[in-house]
Amino acid sequence: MIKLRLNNLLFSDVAMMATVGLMLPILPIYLIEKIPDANIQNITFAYSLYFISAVIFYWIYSAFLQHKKPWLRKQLGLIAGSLIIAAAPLGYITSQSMESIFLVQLIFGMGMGFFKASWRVVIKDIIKPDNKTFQKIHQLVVVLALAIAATIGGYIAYIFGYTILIQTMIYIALIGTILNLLSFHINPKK
Amino acid sequence: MGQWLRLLLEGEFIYITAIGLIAPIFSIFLRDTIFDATLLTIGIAEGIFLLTLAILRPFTQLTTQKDAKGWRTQHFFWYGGLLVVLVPFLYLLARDMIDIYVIQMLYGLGIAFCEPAWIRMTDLTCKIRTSTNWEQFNTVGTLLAAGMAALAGYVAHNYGIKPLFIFIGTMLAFTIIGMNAIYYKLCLYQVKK
Repeated sequence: MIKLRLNNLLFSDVAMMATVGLMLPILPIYLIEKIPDANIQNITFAYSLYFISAVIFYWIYSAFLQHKKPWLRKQLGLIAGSLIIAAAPLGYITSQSMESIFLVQLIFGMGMGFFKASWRVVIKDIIKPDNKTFQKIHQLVVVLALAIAATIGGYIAYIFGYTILIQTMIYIALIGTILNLLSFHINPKK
Repeated sequence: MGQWLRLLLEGEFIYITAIGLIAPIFSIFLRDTIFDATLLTIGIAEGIFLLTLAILRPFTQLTTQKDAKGWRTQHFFWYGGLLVVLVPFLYLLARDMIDIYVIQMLYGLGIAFCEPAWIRMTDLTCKIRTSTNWEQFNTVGTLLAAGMAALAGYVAHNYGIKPLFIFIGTMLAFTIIGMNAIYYKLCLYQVKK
């Protein structure tokens, strides 16, 4: 049971990283092609907004997890974070200006911050913190997933267009959300 | 010891800064300067870097795991550092996407070779300063990279991408030399004594 939960969590993280990895390398080109007021300066700003938002919300949610009902909050954080990650790519299609892209990046980062903060705490409950094997497997699988996602993302955008790419991102994030739901575990004692 | 730790942290942050400068404008640079760059080939280029890193990382970590004195790790660091420094200059010399693929492979190789030394130094730092941990390293590093990405956009927009790459290459060269010196002082000098 624990092994199944661990696998679900590992692959949910892989799914979330793959969602980001599909678009991240070609995002600047997408913005230049689709958004009228995009230039190098505001594209790089949008790029950095995602990371800033992810880090800030990671620490905010980590602090929030430590108070009432942490067992529920961390699992809800996992699901809420992955749902936000699944919904955020829709903003790329609907955005017509760089201001709305900034907002999308902020929301995307918020989802990733919630997800990562909860994911780390849930994993720490299941395995010992000094479990090097899991850490190494996780590191390897995530980098491999990012490598494959970058290539597939480029391929999908080139052959089928950006709309299909964004749909793929949403589907992968939804698969990650389902895996998170499967790993939901009620244990008020912890 | 305190000054070496501070230098180590600064060195690591300068390195992250340099990487943060390249990442967001890389695809625009390819699209503007390489004639056969498409969405597909840009995705493949990014994939090649990550795949090289993923394949080589376990081997370099395994090779340096039983390196009690740290000499082997330092050799890896020299060669890896040299490759990483060369990468921004090689981007400027690239003519087609095949060149870019080879450079991305070298970049992955360089990072995989440098990593054991960084892990060794950071582990030592964390042992000495218990308040410093991996999460804090990651947070500050990510924020710095994000800030630098925005700065890179400003520089590239006003002065062009090529001067930015030359600046990044020079910055990386100084950082790697400095970090090699710190590695010697932190990890090897103690063993020799």
